[in-house]
Amino acid sequence: VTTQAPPREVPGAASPLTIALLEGPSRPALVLATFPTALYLLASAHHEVLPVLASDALLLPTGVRLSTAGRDLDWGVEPGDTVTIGRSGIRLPGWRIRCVREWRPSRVHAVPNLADPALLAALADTLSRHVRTPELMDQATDVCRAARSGDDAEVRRRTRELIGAGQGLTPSGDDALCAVLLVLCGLGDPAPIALMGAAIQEQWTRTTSLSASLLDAASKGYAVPEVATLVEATLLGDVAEARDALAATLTIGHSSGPDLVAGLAGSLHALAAHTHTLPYTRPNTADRAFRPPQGANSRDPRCSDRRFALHGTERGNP
Amino acid sequence: MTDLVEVRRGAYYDSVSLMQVSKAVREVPGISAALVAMATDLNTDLLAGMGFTVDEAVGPNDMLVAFRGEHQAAIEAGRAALDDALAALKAAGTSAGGFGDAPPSRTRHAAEQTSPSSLGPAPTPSSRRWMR
Repeated sequence: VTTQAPPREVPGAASPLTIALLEGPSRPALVLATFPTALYLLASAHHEVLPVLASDALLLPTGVRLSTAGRDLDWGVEPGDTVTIGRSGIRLPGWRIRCVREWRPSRVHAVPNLADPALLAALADTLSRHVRTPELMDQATDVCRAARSGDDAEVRRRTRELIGAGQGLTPSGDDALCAVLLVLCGLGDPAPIALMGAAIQEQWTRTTSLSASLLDAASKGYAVPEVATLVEATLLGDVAEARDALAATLTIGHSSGPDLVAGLAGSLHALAAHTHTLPYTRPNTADRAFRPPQGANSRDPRCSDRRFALHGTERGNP
Repeated sequence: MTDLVEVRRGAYYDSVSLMQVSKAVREVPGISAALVAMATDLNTDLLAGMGFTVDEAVGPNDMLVAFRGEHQAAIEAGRAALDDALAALKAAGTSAGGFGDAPPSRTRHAAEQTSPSSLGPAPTPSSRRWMR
């Protein structure tokens, strides 16, 4: 009698943004794409993407992090295959990822003091030097301005022009929209975020699943660390920090970094113009929680102080 | 005129790479139009505007390949150029452009080596020289 060896088990750390996808009973997930350092799984809804990230992968805020580098991993699956998620893990052919920890993705927090308009304008001009498509920056200005002024119809129209605009995995228009959302999160006023978040949710089936999932994360202020740092630093007017974060952001992908910068520069232009005539008063953010519009997918991750429902209770970066 | 429209699933590349691939195909003699892009709504609209017809159901996670040739030989040459360009991207490890490949070094030195010169001199804290 031979006994089959149990599958090799690798520990992972889950993001609070996608931990719900790992909970519950076992169910299938579609392999969207495989790369040396990342595996993208589609759980069910169009925007419910679960990235599995090697230790040297770009740190997407929604990902399950592994401590193993990409060169030492063999996912064992191809796009179109099905794997099993649930019961606190991901089952792949011959091995299993067991999530035993939770990590905290980087997030843009509401800044206590917005930089003065002249500095915002100067930073916007500096960032715009790295923008490849000025039209994208102008479109970001328009959508940011519309969101801040509460013009619902204009927000929807501008969002429709941008979402899914571009040829690649995360289309340029979506990268710019992510940056606008992050800037709005940095301002701490929930109304424009809710307005823009709703417009994006209505339309995110128009873009790739990965991009939709990153837009969802950005509407809650979450982004890769370099981008979150850049947004906060520019809003605070921290030039030295912004300079370093800009250099790091520009290395993201071949077009995503510059496109994110286009969205940020466009948003700063909108803020600088607006705050020239209107003194900035930070909104009362005692209740800063962004309330996703009805029908939004998941629980607010900021309410996730409960004990980690998976096997472990340890928190923090792996 | 002959059209070729293909749907490739599980093929993810960044926007710049796909623009380069589209350009490589367009430069083939006898090819009059080409688009290689993820099948987002805007891109499928763009494709329709170019006069192409997609016969099968596609979603935003699919990659669309479409080009138009003056004759079948041009189509075959276009397909060869497409395969070469995609193979070159794969060999260079540029698929997904950072969303799956090991990212470049994040040290300041490496960033300064790769980032545009307009970053200017290293700033002292709170210095605004960077922005001049």
